Amino acid sequence: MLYHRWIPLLLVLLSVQVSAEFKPFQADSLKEIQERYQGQAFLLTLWSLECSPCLRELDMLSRWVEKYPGQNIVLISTDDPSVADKAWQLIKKYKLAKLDSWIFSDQFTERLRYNIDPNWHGELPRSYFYSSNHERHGHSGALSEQMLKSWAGQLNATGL
Amino acid sequence: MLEGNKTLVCLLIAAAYMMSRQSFAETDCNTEVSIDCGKTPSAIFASDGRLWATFVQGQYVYVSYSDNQGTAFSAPVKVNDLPEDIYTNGENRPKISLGNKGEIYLSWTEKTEGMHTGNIRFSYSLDDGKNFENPYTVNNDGLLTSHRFDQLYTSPSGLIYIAWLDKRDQVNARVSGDTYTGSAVYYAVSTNSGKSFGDNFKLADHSCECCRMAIAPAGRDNAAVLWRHIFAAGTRDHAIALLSKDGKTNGFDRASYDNWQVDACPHHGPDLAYSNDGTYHMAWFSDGNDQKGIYYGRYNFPDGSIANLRAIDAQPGASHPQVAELAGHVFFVWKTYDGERTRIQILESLDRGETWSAPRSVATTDASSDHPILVQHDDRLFLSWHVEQSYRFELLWPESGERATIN
Repeated sequence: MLYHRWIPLLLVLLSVQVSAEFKPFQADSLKEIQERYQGQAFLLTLWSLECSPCLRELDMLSRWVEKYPGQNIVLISTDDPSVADKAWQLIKKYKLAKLDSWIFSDQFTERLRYNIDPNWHGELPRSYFYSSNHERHGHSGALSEQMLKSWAGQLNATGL
Repeated sequence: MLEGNKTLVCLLIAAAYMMSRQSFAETDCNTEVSIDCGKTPSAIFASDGRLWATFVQGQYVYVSYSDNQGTAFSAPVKVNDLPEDIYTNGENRPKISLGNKGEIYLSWTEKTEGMHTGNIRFSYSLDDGKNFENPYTVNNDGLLTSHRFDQLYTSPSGLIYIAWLDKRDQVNARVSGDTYTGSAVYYAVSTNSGKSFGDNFKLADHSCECCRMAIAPAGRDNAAVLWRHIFAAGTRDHAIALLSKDGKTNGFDRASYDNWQVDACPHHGPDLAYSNDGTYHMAWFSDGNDQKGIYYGRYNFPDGSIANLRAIDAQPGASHPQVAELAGHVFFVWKTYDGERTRIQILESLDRGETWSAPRSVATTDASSDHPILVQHDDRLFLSWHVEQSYRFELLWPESGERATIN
């Protein structure tokens, strides 16, 4: 009888372990993302709660997504899953909850970073512009609306 | 018979060693408080050879010591009675420094409400680490903003310096409708063995906001600091300056010309070590247009010149360099990751960075790991490295072969 009192608490604890909103980003997750957007151009953006330029970028993305909904944008938080709730609050604040969102889910963050790009040293924000045949170029630092316009323009110009 | 006894003694020593440092699999960090289970340790030797270490576990800073160079540690003593959220990452860890009379000084950054905010906290012990005084906040502006990335140093004359990155000027600029790039470098000095700190002095406007600073000795009373700065056009290269106890400085000088124009948080601070000839060994990372990778250079304050600028490692995965000088040897240590293993690499120079030995790997892991940190005692150099749930403290130099000749 007494045990029943603990069940809700257990359920709460279990739900804290995994955030339903973020997908756990692991060593093979980039492959999964690339497969999901096979034949399509997309933007991959890495960010963190610990990075103030990232917040400026999320703010800009928020306005961009409002203006041009339906674009392929993938967000990856490099934060620890223990702060997933806080990170998700921010995603909601910037009205980006509809985007494909992941969070680093391996303590060995160097491995995750290396799997994304050996030449990326962890500076944030970091973005990758993928073309439809998945050629990509990386950019370190907050994206500007102008950069996204230019990227979108290139995609349109090549009929993609 | 004698041989048998020797074997038994060896086995007992081996068993005692293994028991003293439980392996990861046997350690239950849910119940145990220890430097293995804790996060982001810092360590320093006292002149009597005792190794003092601090680390964070949960919402507490702890202090523990070792009398056998890191093989076994004393039961940790809790520093803050009241729980605090504390920054624990490679760039922002608790710091430990020692006074001339055995005082133990600690600083750390408390996470405060909201995003990217914090307070610089300080505590000390005057009874050989048995008890710690109530922690207090060193930044004095009363603003809820970023005061983070503390560095702690005690001068030979006993002055305690804490330098940190501070966003109070950004807050003030916002109030008056202006913009302010990055953080500022602030510092404060205690002249009474840590009972209190004096004014907060501003050293420089517009530092990068998310990289650790480095602090090093400068004579009997002063300190030298190196940090990533935001120069014109958003160029995040390095700056260097001397601190004095009354807040009077000669400003700062540019210490690297990497030309890294980036509107991002590199989370990758430099290191600085005093050389016996009065110059400073610098170690840093950049992904600039002109210089990419891990670099060494030797800075001379009187004329601002940089000698022996060397590209150490431009491979992907090279990171977090450290530099130290002892007994006429300069050591440069950094971390590499090749997609499978993390290695700690070391270089040695006998001519103050003019020429360097071939790199040698001194430690390795395939688990997650903290930044490598160099700790020295007399003429010995050690590596302090936290790897997953175990703390490694290893003699780097002299190597065992060389040690025989020294003894």
